[in-house]
Amino acid sequence: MKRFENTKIKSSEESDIKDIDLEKNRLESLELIGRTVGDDCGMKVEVGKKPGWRYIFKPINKIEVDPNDIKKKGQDYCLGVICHEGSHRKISRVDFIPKEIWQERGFSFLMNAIEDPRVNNWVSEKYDGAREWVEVFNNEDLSQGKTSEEIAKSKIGYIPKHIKYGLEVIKHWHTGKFSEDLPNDVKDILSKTINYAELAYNNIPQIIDPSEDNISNAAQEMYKIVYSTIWPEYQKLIEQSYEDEKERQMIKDMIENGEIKFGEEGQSSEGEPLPLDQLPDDLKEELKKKIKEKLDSMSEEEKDKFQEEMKGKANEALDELEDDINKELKGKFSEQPKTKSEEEKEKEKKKKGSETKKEIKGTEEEIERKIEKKKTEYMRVYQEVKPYIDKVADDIINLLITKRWPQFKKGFPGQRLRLEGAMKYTSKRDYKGLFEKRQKMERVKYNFTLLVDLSGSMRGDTIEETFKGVVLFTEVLNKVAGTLGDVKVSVYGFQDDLLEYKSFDESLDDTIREKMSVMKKEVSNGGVHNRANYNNDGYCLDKAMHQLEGLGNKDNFLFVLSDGEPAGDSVHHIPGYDEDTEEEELHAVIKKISQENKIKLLGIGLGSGTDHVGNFYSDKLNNVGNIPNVKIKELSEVLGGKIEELIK
Amino acid sequence: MISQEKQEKIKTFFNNLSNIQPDHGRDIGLIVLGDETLGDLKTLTPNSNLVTIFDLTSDVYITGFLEDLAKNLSEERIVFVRIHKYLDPAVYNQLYLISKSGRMDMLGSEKDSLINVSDKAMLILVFTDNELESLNYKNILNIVGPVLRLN
Repeated sequence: MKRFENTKIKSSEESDIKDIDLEKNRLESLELIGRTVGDDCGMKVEVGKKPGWRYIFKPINKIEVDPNDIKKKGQDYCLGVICHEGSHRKISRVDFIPKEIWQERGFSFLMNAIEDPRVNNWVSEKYDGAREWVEVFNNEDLSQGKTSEEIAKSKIGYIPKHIKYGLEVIKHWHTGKFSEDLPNDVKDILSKTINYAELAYNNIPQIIDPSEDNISNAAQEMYKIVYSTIWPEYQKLIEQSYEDEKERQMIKDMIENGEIKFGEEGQSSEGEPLPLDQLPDDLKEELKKKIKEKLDSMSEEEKDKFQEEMKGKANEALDELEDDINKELKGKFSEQPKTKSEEEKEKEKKKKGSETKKEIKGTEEEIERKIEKKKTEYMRVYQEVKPYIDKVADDIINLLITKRWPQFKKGFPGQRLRLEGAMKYTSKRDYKGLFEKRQKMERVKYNFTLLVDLSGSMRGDTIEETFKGVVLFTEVLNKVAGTLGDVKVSVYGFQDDLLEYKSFDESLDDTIREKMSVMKKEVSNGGVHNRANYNNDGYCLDKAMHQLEGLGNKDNFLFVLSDGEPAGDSVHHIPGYDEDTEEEELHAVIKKISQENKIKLLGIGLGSGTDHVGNFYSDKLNNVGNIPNVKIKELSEVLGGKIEELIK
Repeated sequence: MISQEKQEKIKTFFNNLSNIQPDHGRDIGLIVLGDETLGDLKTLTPNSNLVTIFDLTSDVYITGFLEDLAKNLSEERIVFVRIHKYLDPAVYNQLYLISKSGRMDMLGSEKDSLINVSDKAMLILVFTDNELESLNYKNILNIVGPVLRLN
């Protein structure tokens, strides 16, 4: 037999060490003994934040010590509790009990009431010093008895009969006798079953090094005894408790409705009405009468409804009580299954949780939808082309900055000393070549026009891709203008005539971006101009060319986004051309631009079916280039190179 | 450059598809491309501004495409759908409906609706020979009307 004699803790009377040291020392000892008894080196023993001992075996083995007990109660008391809990860890097993049985009302409490004496028996046998400690702690509060009584009284004002039974089993184990004032039905069942209870809690595993099989077998035998002999009788008490609680709920309801008045004699110290069989006889008879009168005054339908309501309340009260008691006891059986009511509550909680989650998700989606709705088409596409903007802008800026550094020429006076001139000055005293003078730099002005085909032939994938191109060019050129300074940009759409979106003098802002969002709708006559059945390419290109030339610079660029197929009306043509000769008209305008050498013209076909851009904007002509049948990503990669070709 | 002969063949095809349609449902045209492009086909239509082109690449958002297709077919548009080796079942289903009953059933999309294909609309599927051979729907020819091979 092992002994704990060496594990002595100085009591607060013997020592003047501070509380904190006492607590620390005690905790260390408790942990040591808890681990030894539980045969679990990984088990933690910590001071809990709330009053009460708590036993948490999942997800990590942990015993929470009552913060008041560790300070105020004696060492033997604390050691008694830790031995008790450690032995639960070592020998309590319930994993073989079918879930349906465990979830029957009262069963888990009954098992706990038998298991407590059982583990006390085992630990007292196993460790020589443990018996006294267990004795001390049981003397002070009969383990779960004290807690369960307190919970029951605070919850419903009295101790239901089936709970009372459990407490009496523990009391009988400890003192060898029952309480004197027990209700007859509890007394009857106790006398019928106490021998079996003794048999069950004396069914302990081997004292020396019990194997897991031995522990499990002993626990199973204990369960079999409880289930086959005690449980059938115990259920009668549960039924009684239920009837008592149902009647009590009726009385409570009648008090709340002012149908009866109740003196202190019929109430618990917590102010809860007591069940009928705990009331004085005269009051009991009077209440019975009133209940009968109430039921008789009701129609059958009303009576059923009322009784159903009371049944529901009684069930709820008893289930909640058992849950609360079990919460305090939980962990005594490692991996103890949930009771039915706990399981239902958890399901309900989960359901509510998922409903709330769903609600939040729905709200988030709604907000996102609203934000998305508020976004203009331009902003939506901007997000898509954003990754390409910097690259294309850098490519263009690099092409346009041909003279990165200031140019210097020999001169006097000047800003920079010349090494060669200095040597000459030393030999000949000729100062004229001593310095270099910074040359005046004429800043180059660039003008860009973006011309977008918005005819019906652009519908479908073509306009989707083209509009990405519009946003890309607009943002890129805006960035180029911001970096280089003297850069003007205009954006036009065209159908039978030019549609202005941004003039050279306007700066790009959200109003213009919003205005440009309509472009996509123009191709299906859902915009502003709505002449999507026509695209007078030659006429519109000519007009755009004149606007660019009107700015008077040499460095002009005209980018045309189109599918390359003129199909105009009869009105908008340059002199000498008409509907039948519109292809020639476009060819002629392009040729003119090429020859005048004032504009670099680039025809771009974005999306499928835009290969005919190449037929018109032929790169065989000077100052003209084309990029047909491309997607936006590809365009961002080749655009710089194409512009470079045009500049050269 | 597309030959004159082919140009005539294509124009005749468009003309026939436009004018000869069954009592029930709509004939869907199918063109098997040789060296021609969608741009070539577009220039040979009576009015290129009535043409809409969809390219069903793998990154196309199918629901969005079907909505656009429905909108275009409910107007008097000539719609070319460029199909590659994979045809989404949702698209096949709508093609089947168009072919058999001349309508599209957009139930389940954001705007639940039945769309009748306009009498003057034309729907033409465009493949290369290789794509048609390896298409996941081997029975595609069961739901199309006139076929024009340009290869």
